[in-house]
Amino acid sequence: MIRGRSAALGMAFSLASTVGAQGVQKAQPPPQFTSGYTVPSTPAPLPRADVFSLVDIGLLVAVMGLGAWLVLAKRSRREVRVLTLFAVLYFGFYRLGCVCAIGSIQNVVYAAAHSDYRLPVAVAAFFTLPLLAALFFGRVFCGVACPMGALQDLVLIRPLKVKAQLDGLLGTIPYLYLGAAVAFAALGTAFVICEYDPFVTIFRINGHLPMVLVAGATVLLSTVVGRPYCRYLCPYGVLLRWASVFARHRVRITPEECLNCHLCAQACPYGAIVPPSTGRREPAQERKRVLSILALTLVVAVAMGFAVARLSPTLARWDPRVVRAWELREEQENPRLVKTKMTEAWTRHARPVEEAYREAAAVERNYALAMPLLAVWFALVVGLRALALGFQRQRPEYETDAGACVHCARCYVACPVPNRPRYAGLRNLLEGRP
Amino acid sequence: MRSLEVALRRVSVVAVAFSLLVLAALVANAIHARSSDPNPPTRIEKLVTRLNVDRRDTALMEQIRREDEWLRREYARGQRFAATGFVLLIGGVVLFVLSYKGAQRLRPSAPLPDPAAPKNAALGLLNAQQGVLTLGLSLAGLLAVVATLSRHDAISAYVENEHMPVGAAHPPEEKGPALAVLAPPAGAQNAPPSLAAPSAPPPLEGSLPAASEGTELVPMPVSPPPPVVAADPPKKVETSKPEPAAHWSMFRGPAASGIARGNAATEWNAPSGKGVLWKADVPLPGFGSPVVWDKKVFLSGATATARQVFAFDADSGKALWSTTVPMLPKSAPMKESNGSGFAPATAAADAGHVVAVFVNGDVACLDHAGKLLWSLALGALENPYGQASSPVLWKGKLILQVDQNAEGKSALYALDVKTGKQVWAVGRPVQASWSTPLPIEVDGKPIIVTCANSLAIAHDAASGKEIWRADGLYGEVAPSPTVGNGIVYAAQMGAGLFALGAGDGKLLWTTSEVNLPDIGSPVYADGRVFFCGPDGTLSAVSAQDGKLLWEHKFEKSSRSSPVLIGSRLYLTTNEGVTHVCEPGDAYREIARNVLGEPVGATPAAAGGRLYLRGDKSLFCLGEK
Repeated sequence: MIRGRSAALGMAFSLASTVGAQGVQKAQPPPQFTSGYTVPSTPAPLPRADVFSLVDIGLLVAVMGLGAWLVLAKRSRREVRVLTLFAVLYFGFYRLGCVCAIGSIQNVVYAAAHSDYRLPVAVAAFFTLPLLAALFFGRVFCGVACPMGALQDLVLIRPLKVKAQLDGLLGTIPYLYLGAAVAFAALGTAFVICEYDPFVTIFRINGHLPMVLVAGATVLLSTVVGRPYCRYLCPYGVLLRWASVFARHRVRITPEECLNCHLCAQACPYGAIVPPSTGRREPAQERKRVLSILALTLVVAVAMGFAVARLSPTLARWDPRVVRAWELREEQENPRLVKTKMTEAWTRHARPVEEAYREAAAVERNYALAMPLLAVWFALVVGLRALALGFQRQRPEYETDAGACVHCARCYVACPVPNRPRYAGLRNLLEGRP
Repeated sequence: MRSLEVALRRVSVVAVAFSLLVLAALVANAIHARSSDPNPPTRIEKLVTRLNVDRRDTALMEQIRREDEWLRREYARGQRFAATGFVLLIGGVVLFVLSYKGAQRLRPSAPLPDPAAPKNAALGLLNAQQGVLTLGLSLAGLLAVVATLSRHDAISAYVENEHMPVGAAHPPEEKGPALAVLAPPAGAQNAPPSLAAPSAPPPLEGSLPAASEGTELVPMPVSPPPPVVAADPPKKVETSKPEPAAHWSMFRGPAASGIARGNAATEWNAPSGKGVLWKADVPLPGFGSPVVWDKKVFLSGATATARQVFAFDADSGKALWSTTVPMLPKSAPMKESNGSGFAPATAAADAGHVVAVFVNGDVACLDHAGKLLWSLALGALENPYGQASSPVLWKGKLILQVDQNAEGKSALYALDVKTGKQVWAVGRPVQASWSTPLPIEVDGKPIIVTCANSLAIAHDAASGKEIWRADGLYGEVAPSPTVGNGIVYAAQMGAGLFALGAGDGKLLWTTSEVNLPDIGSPVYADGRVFFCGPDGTLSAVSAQDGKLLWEHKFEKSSRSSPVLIGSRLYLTTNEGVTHVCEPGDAYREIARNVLGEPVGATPAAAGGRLYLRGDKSLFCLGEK
């Protein structure tokens, strides 16, 4: 019943909050004719006192540690569900989704690119700790501590299998998104991950209608597709995937002999269990495949590099500083134009338009440098991803894909081989046995 | 057991139907809420824009109130609806999930092994590999086509090649104070060609006065013309002309800067008669301040049906004459708005003329004997408070700042004061404002500095040609600029206090962290700028960097502008109390004087006396 209750609660919370986010806390402008209006407080979370930041960090460590023990040692699905519910309630609804490890990528990049920005300790911890955990235990953060992943996990009631072809194709998107998010954060244009995060809308029960609709669609999709955001969009998942490859202590479907019954793969809603394989290409055939992919990658890199280098002034118009400069220019040419909020703020602070132009020109120069690099990244992603998808490795039995497994422990339940006795995994863990 | 499962499935279907119904209602509510969301109040904004044209339109005002209230009611109703729906939806979803899961548990489906699955998965991965490559190539191709076929303008190209103002194409790298100057393009005549040039100013409708309209009471000799001021040395900035102390020729004194030489009375108490040389009844009301030329004090006053210019003897207070200014065929109706009165502008005088401007834009020029020489009508003004900018008489020209909300109608006029003929007129890309022009000389060149929404603009006094402009003044700009030590100071509540180079308009500093004026004008004294905010707070800031030196809050607010007479600063509050203080680094009050009448005008000082216009009387204050 816990399973049913938690799923129901999660789905109810997310769906209802999505629709309820139509504007329950939406601020109204002060009335035109009356005074004494109290401006509502902001729905965004206020800065956290240092001591509470430490509490957040401590809880993150505790939840991940407990999760690793539950999944890898105790091998219990039931307690994992309790932890996911806690993650949704605390890191999600209570902490309003902030600090968030996913968004912290941008802070780290911004701090690296801007010497005048000091990276907060909590942000640094939320960026680093899940990666450290992944280096040892795999994506335990995704399984038990990430409120976004947990919410998707709780509302999953009838998982459908995503075909491997589509899964592989969509799985490329997080790499591209990561590159774009890093580029825009380094350029100082925007923190796109936070700006277009559907779960923030849900956790804060507030947002613009388009994001409310996206959030609703994401939650609805999550009821039938396992963790669509984590698998097909999450940029932090890319880093965790890389780190998890080195993890020594991974999820083992069964410590005993595998029956190769495929039930675990059927039960895994995230496509994170790979089947046994005996096939391996001839070396000549493999060489040909690699060379052709590399050639195509080069073509993609050149074409995309040329395109974005030319498009960079247009792409730079995503940056508010460039937008403001163009608006100032239009208003300078036509002083009767109604000022926009940005230009009014600029002139109210008595800053000269020349300064705005210079600032925008500097942004454009940065874009001219960064966009071709982003194009190269895109090309590399396409090439390396294609190589990885076509790579064949001999595998005698069903295994978890260390990079894709999010430690939900569903495969333990599905496996017909009796699960290990309680704490046996912990003993093995301590003794250094896999 | 079977019946329970069937029941649970039915419950889940009902729950889904219920949830969908609530969801549909919430979506409909969200769509409806967008139409009543006061956040983008475009309709109300349009109505307010209309109201700004005529603020006396009470019906429109009432309509705005009704619409605003309706929007808020609808918005609150929508919020309540959303909150209720939110709770109902939670219930529906919880019921659905519980019943669905319960039914699943009662009939669990046994998993079946799939022998073909590994092979299918391997095939799928190979297809995914091809899909990724296809995706990459398609994306690259699409981007290349778009990049080739489209145009991509860069602001940097604009900065380097097209439009940087002269002298700013290669700006210095150092970060100086923030600048707001929009230098007009070189060679621009009146308005830069690249800007949307204001249309030609509207023609002035003049009419010759009837010879008998001036009612001469006591003929008085005409004063000799003021001495000609020698050309200033280079880089020197002077206010218009240091008139003899016997004159207070226009709004805020002989230089329109709020400064007068000499001394004036510092202590009086009008109810008890202390310090009052004379008191005279003013026949018609008005906010215009007195102006003084030699032995005459001039005032204007008006009601909806009568407009007059008065002269009083400066020594005795005896009414010398009063001349009625008739309506012209093209005169706009006399209407006041929000207590502006019918004669809000101060008259201006020179050796042979007195010029008065009324709220509807009618201008009248009389001689010192009260004879109407000429008059003209500016026509219907699109200005919510009417014409309140005072006329400036300088070097034989009458300068009129007529700013309106209608596009292409704002203009600065220079008229020949003898004939009323237009010498030049220049369009101005600004909105309605009520500030009075400031005449100054920079390196011997006479220029007119004006403040308006949203620009401070300096014009060549000889041609009207724009010399410089600075952006940043927003709102209902009524305070007039002042000058000191080569720097022009412009202030506006909500925008800031701006220090601009008198010759080039370069912004030297600005501050908005002070209690800025909304009606009264700033005055400069000895390295400090003084001004009074709408709540009656007198502030002093450093003229060098705008740093607040001190502020002092009076009990009452003030519409009057502070003036510096000799070494003393005078500020009169609306209740008629004049505070005399030292313009030093701290507030030190010398005297607090009671007039016994509300005051909306600014004091005038001439010949060692102080003239103050109350609601009903004109007071002459000084030592007997």
